[in-house]
Amino acid sequence: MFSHKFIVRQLLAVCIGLLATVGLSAQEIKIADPASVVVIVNRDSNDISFMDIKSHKIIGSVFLGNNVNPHMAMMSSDGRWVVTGGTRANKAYIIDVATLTLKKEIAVGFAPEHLAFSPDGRYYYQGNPDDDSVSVIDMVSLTVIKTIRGFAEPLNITFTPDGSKAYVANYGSHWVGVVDVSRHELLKKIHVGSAPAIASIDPERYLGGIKGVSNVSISNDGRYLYAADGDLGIVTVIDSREDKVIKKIPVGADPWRAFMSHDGRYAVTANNGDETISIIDLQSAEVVATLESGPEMMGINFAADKAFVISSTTGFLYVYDMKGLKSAGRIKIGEVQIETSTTDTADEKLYLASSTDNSVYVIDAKTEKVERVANVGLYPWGTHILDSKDNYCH
Amino acid sequence: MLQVYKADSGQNKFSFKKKALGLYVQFVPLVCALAVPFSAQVQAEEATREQLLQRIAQLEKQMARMDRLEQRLNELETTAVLSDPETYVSRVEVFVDEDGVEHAAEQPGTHSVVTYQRERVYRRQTINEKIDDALSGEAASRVQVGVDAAITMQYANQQDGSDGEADGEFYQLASTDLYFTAEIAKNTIFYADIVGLSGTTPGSEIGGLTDINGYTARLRENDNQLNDLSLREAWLMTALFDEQLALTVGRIDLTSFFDSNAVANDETSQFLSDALVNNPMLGLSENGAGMAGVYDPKNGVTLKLGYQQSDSTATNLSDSLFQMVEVGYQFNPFGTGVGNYRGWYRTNNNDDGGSLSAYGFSLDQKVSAGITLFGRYGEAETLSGDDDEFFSGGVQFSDGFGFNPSDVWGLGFANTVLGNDDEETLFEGYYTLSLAERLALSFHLTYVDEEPDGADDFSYLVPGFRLQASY
Amino acid sequence: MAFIDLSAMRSATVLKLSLALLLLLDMSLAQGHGVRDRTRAEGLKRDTAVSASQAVELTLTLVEVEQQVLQTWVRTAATIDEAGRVLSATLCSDEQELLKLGQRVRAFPPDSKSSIYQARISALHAEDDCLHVEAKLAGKAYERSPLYVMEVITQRGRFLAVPSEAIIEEGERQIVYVDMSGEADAASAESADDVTDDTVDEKGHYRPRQIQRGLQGELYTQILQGLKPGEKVVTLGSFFIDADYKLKSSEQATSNAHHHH
Repeated sequence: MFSHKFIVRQLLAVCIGLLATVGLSAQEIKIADPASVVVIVNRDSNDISFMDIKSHKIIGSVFLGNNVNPHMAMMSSDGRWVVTGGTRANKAYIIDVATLTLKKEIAVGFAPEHLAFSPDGRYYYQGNPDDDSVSVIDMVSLTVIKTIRGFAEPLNITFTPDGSKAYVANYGSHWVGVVDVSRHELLKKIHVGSAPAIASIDPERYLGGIKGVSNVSISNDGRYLYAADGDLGIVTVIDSREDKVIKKIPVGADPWRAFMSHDGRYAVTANNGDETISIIDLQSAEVVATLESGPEMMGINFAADKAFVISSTTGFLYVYDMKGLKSAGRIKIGEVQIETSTTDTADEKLYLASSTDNSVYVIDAKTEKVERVANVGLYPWGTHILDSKDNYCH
Repeated sequence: MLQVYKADSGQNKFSFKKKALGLYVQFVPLVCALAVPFSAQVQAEEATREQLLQRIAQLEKQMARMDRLEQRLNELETTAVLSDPETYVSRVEVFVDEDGVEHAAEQPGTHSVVTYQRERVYRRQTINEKIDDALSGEAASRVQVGVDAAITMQYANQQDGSDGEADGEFYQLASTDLYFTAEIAKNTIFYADIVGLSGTTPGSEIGGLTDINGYTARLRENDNQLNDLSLREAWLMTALFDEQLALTVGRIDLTSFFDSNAVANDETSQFLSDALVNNPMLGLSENGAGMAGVYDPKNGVTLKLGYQQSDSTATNLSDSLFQMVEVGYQFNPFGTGVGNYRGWYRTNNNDDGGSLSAYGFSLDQKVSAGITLFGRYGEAETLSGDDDEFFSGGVQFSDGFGFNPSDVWGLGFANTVLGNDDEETLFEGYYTLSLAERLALSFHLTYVDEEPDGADDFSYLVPGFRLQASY
Repeated sequence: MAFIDLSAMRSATVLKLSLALLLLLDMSLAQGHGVRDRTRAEGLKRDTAVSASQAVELTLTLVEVEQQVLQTWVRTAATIDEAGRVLSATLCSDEQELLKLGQRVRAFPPDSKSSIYQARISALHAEDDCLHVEAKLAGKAYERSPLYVMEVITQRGRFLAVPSEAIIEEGERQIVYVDMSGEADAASAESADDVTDDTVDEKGHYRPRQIQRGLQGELYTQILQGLKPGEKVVTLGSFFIDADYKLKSSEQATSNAHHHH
C-alpha cells in the first residue's frame, strides 16, 4: 500500500521531530525565578555570573568572548533577559536568563558602557560615550532600530515612569538631553548651569578637561530630576513635565551624581572633589547636611535607614544614619578596591563588587556584618538585582 | 461596461441592450475627450518619476555598499585585532596544609596564607588608558610637592589713643609654604612643611594681645626678624586599627589637631587675625617636637591626645611639655546642617616647675545651606593666680551668598581678657573672591581695641588684602 | 453597477453626468466591495516591495517566528496594610484563573511609579465569583499611598509565537506580513543577465498572510496556524507595509478595472 520510500520518509520525519523535542528540552532551565539571583559583571573574565541570593552560590556564568570587557548589566523587567554592553567589543549582549545562554550579539556604537530599559521593557537604550550616541535596541526583535546621535559622552539614561521621555546625561558637557521615546529622537537640551564669568581667567580649569553630568536621577513620583554637574559643583533640579530648570543647589566639589534614598525624602551626592557627601532634602530642595566621607566615591546604597557610601580605593564603606543625618562609622571591607553595589529588594543586604580580589561582599545593613563570596569571576565591576532600587554603575 | 436600466419601464434588462449600446456610443467619446489631456500629463509625470526612481535606486546601492564596508571595518576592529592579554599581580588567599601543598579552598589541616601571583586577563585597553595607568602608578610612588604662597598687605590707621608707632603705616608680608608628602608604607605618610616669611605685620608695631596677621603665629621668635626660613612641621603619620587611630610623630603644630573649627581655623582662607583662627588660651607659642593621636571611628565622636615641646630653648622635653586632650562630637541637632562641638583641656610646665592648665570649647554649626555660626571659649591659669579668659564668635556665608558661587565671606569678633586685666576686643570682616581654582583674593577689615592695664587705651582700624595661591 | 433613470435626462446634463461617472468609476475601484475582494485574493499571492532606504526610514524590523515564553501580566488595584508589608486585591475577571501562590508581583503607588516594589503572592481565597489575592512585599513600603498598582507576572508556557504588534487586525481576520525576500532574490537572481553585488536589487519583499492566533501574552501572541518556525514577520513598520500594500492593491485594481472595459 505504501511505498518503501514513503515509509522511510515518514519514519525519518518522526525521528527528526523527536530529536528536535529532545533538543528543546535539553536546554535546561537553570534559573526558574529571575528575582532569586544577583547578576555580576566580570570585566576581565569577560563573563556575566549569576549568584543565588540566598545560598550565595554561583549558579552559572555566560562567557561573552575575549576582550569584550562588559561594563554594566541589567535584567529586563519581565525577567527574561540580561543585557550588557561590551566596552571593548562595541557590542551589546543579550543573555537568556532561564537557560543562561547567550542569545544574541548586537553591534552598537563605540565603547558602550551604561544602559537603561524603558519602563515597559520594550526598549533597551545603550549609551556609547566614545561614539556620542545612544543605540536603541528593540527587545522584541533584538535589533538596533535606531542610533540617536548628537550627545557629548552620554553616560547614563533615565526614563520617566510613563516611558514617554528619556533623559540622557552627558559627561562631556553641561546639558541633559531629552529624548522622545516614541520616535527615539533627541528633542531638546536642558542647560544645567554655566561656569561663572570669572572662570575666563582660569581657562585651564574648564578647557583642560570636563566633568559634566554623569547621571540624571529621578524622584519617586517622576516629577523632578536631579542632575549633578562635576565642574560646576551643583545639582540642578529639573521639572520633568515642563522640562524646565527649577533650581540649582550648590553642593560639594566635583559631585559624581545624586543617589536617591528609597523613601523619596533625600538625594545624596558623592562629592569627590572635597571628599564629602551632601544630603539634599527633596521637599525643600536644600542641602541639610554636608558630611565628611572618603576619596573616590563610586556609589551610594540605601538600606535599614542608612546610607552606605563606597570609597573605592580605600576599601571602606562609609555609613550614615539617614534619620539623624550624621555619620555612623565605617565598614572596612579589606585592602581591596571596591566598585559598585546593589541592594536587595527587601532593603536588607548589599551586594558589593570587589574587583581586586574577585569577590562579591554581602553586607547585612542592620548588623553591618560582612560575608565574602570569593571567585565570582575576574575583576567584578558591578552587580544587579531585578527591581532593586539601587541599580547603577560607575 | 455600465448597464443602464429604465427604472420604471417594467421591461427586463435584455430588451434594453440596443439602447445601452447607443448610450455607450454617446458617452465614451466624451469620457475619452476629457481623459486625453489628463493622460498626457500623467505620462509626463510617469517619465519623471521613473528617472527619480532610477536615481534613488543608484543611491541606495551606494549606501548599501557603505553599510557593508562599515560593518566589515567594525568586525575587523573587534575581532581581527588581537590584544596581548593583560597581566597583573593580585593578592590571593590560599590554604596550605602541613606538607606545604597549596589548596584553593579551605580543607581540614590547612591554614590560610596570603600570597601574590600573576593573573592573565583578556582586558583590552586603549592607549590613553594605558598611559593614564602608567602615570598614576608612577605618581603614587613619588614624593608629592605642593606650594602655598600668600601675600598680605595691611594698613594700620589709629582710631583712638596717643600716637602709636603703627599709625599710617603699611605692612606687607610674603609667605611661602613648600610641603612634601610621600606614602612610605601602607597607611603611613611622611609630611614636611618649610615656610619662608619675608616682611612685616602690623602686630609688630601695634602691640596687641594677639597677632593681627595669623601667618606669623608660632613662627617668629621676635617681631624684628624680617626674613626667615623655618621648618614649620615635619612628621610621620600612620593609621592603625582599620584607620580609626591616626598617630603623628615629629615636629608638629598641635593647633592643627586641637581646637579646630570649620569656619575659623585657617588664616590662608578664612579670618586673618590669629584670635579668630585659634584660641589664645591654648597657650602654644611655637611648634615643636611632639606626638598626637586621633581616634576617629567616623561615627561622630572623636578623641584626641597629644603632647608637644612648646619652648625651643628648653634642653629637655620635661621642661616644656605641653599636653592636650580633646573630645569632639558631630551631629545635626536641628536637621538644618551639621554641627561640630569640641571640648579640650591642656596642661603645660611653668617656670616654677609646676604646671598650668587651661580648658576651652569650640563649635561650628551650620544653620542653613551656606550659613555657619562659630564660637570659642577658653580659660587659662596664670602664674599670678588670675585666670585669662577668651571668647569669640561669628558667622560665615558661602554656597552662593557671594558674587560668585565659590566666594566666601565672614564676620567675627573676639575678646581676650588676661589675668592682669589687659583686654583686647577685635572685630574682623573678610570677603574671599575665588579667582581661579588655585587663586583667591580676599579683602579684610579689622578693628582692634586694646585696653592695657595701667596704660592708655588705643584702637586701630586695619584694612588689608590677601592674595593666596595653592598648588 | 449604476442605475440611471433615463426619463429625467436632458442633453445639458450629459457632461455633468460623464464627470460624475468618472468620479464614480474611481471611487468604486477604491471602495467597492466586490472589486476589493477580488484584488485582495490576488494580492495575497503578491508581494509588496520596500527598498533598503525606505526600510531604514520606517525602522522596519523583522522577527523570526520561534518558540517564545509567553507571559501575561495581570494588573489590578490593591490596598496596603498598616504595616506597609501586605497588598490586598480582589480580582473578578477571568484572569483570576492564572494566579498561583508564589508568583512574582511588581507593585507601585500610582503617584510614585518610579518606586517599584517586589512581592510574592502569599494567599488566594475564592469569594463568590471573585478571587481575593494577598501579596507580601519583599521590603517595607515607604509611601503611604491608599492604593497600589499590582502587576502579577504569570508564565503561560512556551509556544510558537510572534510579537503582538506584528499582527494586523482586519475585521474578523488577523494578518501578518511575512518576509519573502529570499524567494524574490532567488527569482531575480535567476532572471538577471548580469548578477553582481552591485546590481542585485536590495528590496525587501513582504507578503500578507492570514494567521490563527491563540494565547495573547504581554509582548507575544501564540500562533496556531499560518506560520512556520524560521519564517520572519514584520513588526515595526508593519502598519506602513500594510498601507503600502493596500495602496498598490487599489492601483492594481484600477488597472484591472480598465482592462475590463
